[in-house]
Amino acid sequence: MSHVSPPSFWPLLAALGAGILFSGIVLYFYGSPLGTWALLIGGVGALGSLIGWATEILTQHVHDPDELQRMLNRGFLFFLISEAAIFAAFFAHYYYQRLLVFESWPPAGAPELETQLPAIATLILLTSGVTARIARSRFVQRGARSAAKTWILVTIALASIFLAMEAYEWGLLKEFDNFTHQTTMAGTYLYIMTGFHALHVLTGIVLWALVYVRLELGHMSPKYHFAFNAAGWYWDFVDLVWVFLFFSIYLI
Amino acid sequence: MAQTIQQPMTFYSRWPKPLAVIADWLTTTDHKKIGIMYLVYSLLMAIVGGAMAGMIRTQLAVPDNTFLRPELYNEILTLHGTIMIFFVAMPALAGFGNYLVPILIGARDMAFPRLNAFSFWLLVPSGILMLASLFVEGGAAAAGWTSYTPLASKQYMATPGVDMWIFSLHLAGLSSILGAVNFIVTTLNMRAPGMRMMEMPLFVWAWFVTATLILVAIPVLSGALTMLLTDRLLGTNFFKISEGGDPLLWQHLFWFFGHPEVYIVILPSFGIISHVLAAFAHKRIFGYPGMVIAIAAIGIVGYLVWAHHMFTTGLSTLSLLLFSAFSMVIAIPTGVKVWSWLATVWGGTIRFTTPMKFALGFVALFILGGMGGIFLANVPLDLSLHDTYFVVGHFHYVFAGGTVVALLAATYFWFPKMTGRFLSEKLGTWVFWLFFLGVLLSFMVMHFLGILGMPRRVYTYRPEFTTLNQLVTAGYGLQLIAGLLLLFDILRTLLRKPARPLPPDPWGVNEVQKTLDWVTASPPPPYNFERTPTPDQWRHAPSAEVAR
Repeated sequence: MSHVSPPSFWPLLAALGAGILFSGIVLYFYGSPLGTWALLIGGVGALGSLIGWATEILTQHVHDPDELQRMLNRGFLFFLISEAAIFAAFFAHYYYQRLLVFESWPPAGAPELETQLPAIATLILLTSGVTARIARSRFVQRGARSAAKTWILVTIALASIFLAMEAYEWGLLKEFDNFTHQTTMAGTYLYIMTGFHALHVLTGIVLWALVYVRLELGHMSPKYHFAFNAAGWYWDFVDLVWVFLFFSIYLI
Repeated sequence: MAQTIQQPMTFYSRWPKPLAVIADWLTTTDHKKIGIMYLVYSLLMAIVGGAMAGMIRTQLAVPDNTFLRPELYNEILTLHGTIMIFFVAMPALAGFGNYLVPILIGARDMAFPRLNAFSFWLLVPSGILMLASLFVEGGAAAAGWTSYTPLASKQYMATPGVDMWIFSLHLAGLSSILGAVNFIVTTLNMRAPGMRMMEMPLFVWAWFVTATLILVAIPVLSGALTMLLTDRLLGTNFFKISEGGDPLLWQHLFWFFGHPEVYIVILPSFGIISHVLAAFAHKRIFGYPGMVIAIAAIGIVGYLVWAHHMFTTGLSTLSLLLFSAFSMVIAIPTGVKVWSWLATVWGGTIRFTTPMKFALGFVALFILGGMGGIFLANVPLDLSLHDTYFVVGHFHYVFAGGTVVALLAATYFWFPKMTGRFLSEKLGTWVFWLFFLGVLLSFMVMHFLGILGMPRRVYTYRPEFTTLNQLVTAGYGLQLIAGLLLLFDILRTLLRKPARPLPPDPWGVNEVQKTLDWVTASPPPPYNFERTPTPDQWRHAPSAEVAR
């Protein structure tokens, strides 16, 4: 009954870290010597604050864990809606240009994209979606912690292979076709949209690593496992976006 | 009996007093303190944004004025718009939302208190980045708050000010998105046991719908800003016409965010007005279900009207027709709200308190602003009025006459709840009339200027517009005096110790209203309610409909 949320310095520090980080990007691109420092301080500050924040949560007494888990689940799903809206802006841009503006695609100067390598990468990423699901069901339905940890490692490995293949493909395009993010509208779409997605894959890997650590530390139970849910949904989302991306950028 | 609930011991409990107080505010996760910080932030930014408006009006007091260089005029104009929307209107509404939503639904706090603090603190670096951009080499962003490409591209605006503008809005956007998630979950999960959705006060409903708008609209802006940023910093081609891109695409993406944004700042204002009008008419709000449906309808249709900002860009006739029709459709739910407000006041026992004056002023000004909207939604009229002062007059009517007047109503209405003191009714009457007449004068005259053909966003004008422009500037003067009076009154009231503590319901309205903000103490304790509120505290008896 008497629960009043305790004070915390972390939200303030995390916000300042984010501000310094963003200022650092501007400074860096305009050649200021302060740029690298600001990037470093801001990045470490923001990340450190998030870790401190997370640690603080762990040490706190939870008044009603069932309700808390419901709220966290719901909040995370709503957050994913806004993630989807960001990608929607990119897709809207892409399809508007392709369908309403450009008469032929790809535009002159852009190569026809090979689909073989991305198709294999797609299969690998989708497989990682399956392994992630297995990990979750092993833990939630059977309480098999070590099996879940193994499947998480498999998921992380597959995701890393996906990222490596993507980077390899970018390298090939750059080297043999001289195709970069500055080469035609097609180059911009390919690198920025898949790059933005790759950032999400990277975030997903970090989330899985966190889930792994928390399983290791025994923080989660088959009943309370919000982090597991969040990472799982995030991963489903990342998979889904990739399917759209693969279809849009490589197939049609 | 009331249980005693103690503040938890904290790391700064033993610090000397002033340090402990500062540490308390910097680390608080209490939705009321965070709400107050939002409001103070908004007030400070209003001083900055208002001063910028003053610079603009000084420049335009006479034609060919040399008070501001043309480039600086554009920078000030851009920051005035951006600051007023993102750092004044939104934080102020978020402030009242933070303070009131948990109390109105009988909760102890928001769903995620720390995230709530994070949302607020993000605005601090965001605001600093925005204001600092004025002082970098090359100056601040100067492409207007809409930052149309190609004007805002590297080629035409090489200053890092634009990049700072983008990052500032990224931070503010993140703040809004996380805040929206918090509001949604709070509303869905934290209601006192037994409170149904259709029993929530209208301010809560308004914020709930607003949060869903924020959740989808703001990320689209973030996406567009990211594209502009990579164009500027990495040399990508998103908005490059030389690469075959469509110059209109930025406008589509921007207004897909920009129009819902209009409702993001007006829907919570609607909620505030519903509370104030009902309270001082001594009646329940008329047509509660209709009001809820109208809020939701405005939210949904609000997504389908963005291209009415682009009627002059050569859209197809079909698009023109559809977007024009949808824009006019919005008048229907808006009309439902206005008529319900009038029906609420009709036959009521009206008390003309300061908040009531502002609320009635809101209805008048909002109708006037809405009328201008009908003009602009009409394609043939818009073709001649687009990018003239008519548009400037229209949106200032709904922003200043709508959102800001609603915020002033809320300030006077809930100030006793938040601080345990009343603001001066006598000064409040002055603030109201000065502000009301100032808004009426400035922005009505802008409509005339627009019809006469004065273009917007230009640092000078033809000599024949001088008299009308001086009237606009005079209207600014009235608003300025009103603002200074309010500021003076707030400071004076806060510095003076209240003679006696106020009761939970200082306005004496809760017998009819039955909202939980008037159940708890003024100001409320950290835990809001000693006991979890029960349905008899908010549920109206079936016969209460007719009882007055």
